[in-house]
Amino acid sequence: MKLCRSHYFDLEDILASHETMPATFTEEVKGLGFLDPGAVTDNITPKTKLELPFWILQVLLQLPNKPVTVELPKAFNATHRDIFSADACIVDFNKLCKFFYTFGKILARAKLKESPEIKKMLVETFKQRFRYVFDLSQNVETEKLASDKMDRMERELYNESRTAQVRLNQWMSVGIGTIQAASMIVNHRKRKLTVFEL
Amino acid sequence: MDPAEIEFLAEKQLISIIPKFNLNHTIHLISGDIGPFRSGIPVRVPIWLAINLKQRQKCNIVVPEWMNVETLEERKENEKQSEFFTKMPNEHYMEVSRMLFETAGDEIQKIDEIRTVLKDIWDLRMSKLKASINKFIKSDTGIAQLDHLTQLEINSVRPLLPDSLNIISSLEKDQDSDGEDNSQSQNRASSSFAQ
Repeated sequence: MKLCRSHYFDLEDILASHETMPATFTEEVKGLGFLDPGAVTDNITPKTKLELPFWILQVLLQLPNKPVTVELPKAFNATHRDIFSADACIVDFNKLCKFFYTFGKILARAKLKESPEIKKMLVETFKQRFRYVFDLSQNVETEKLASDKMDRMERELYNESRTAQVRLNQWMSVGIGTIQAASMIVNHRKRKLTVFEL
Repeated sequence: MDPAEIEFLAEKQLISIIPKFNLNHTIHLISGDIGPFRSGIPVRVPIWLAINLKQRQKCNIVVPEWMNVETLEERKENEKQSEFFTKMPNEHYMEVSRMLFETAGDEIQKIDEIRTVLKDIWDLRMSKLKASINKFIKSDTGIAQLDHLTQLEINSVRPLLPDSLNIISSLEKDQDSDGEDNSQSQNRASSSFAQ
């Protein structure tokens, strides 16, 4: 299961670190003018406000003179943290933040001043929403849901457990005549043949 | 795990049959010796063999003792009363009964009633299991003890439960297990930055 492992080429992780955050520059940064569409010079002037992806901000934040200050993105600000603690199940992650958990994990590790709070919130939110994902996966058989509020990680969890549930239901109603070979083994043979033909 | 694989495991259980043929020598198998078969004398064989012989009309299957309406009704009542899971008569009760219903339906008395009671027991246990999983995830404890669950029941919450626990523990951790998560995304950032 790859849900919670991140590595260098992990697409989820890369996409998640593309989530933008509002940032304000406090000092002039040379050569970064291209980031600001309204900039006239090659440099970024102080007090410029920009929505920048997290991966670039992470580097800027680690510079010794700290040329930027960041605000938390909408999904993680104080208002939304309150909403999550009230009732996490009503939040639509599909609209709000598609990579809520992965991005949240990155933020929690980024050593911002809100990091500990975000970390606590992530765990609580997941626990609260577990019931929602669990019920759906046990009782719905279609992959596409009419309205779903799940973020990517929850969706993957939903899909995995839904397929297991469908298989169990199938076994209950009609049974299974012969055990099927795992798809990996079937594909493995195919690959071998192509190698052989070459 | 696929339910079919669990059914396969359940087929290794022994069951009594009354053969309709004679075979004087024993059959030596890795899982144990079977036979000899004397017509009319009960003998213990694995379920897979019993089913095969039954399909070829070579034997009658002796229905397991627990598979009758009274015993199962009693189990069902116990299950309803108890807050926890009660011990089932057989650790593969669903699979065994399924297989026997399919092949030896003619030898089981009141088969439709048994089927209903078994389904009731299954539903009771599943709702209990779901409720306790919900409780377990919401609580902060790291361990839960669930006795007397059968393999098929355990499998019904895979992969959901282990994956959810994985996610929770990864959210709670400061670093990924390889400990390089931060430095890696930092590397990625700086290399993109350089271009």
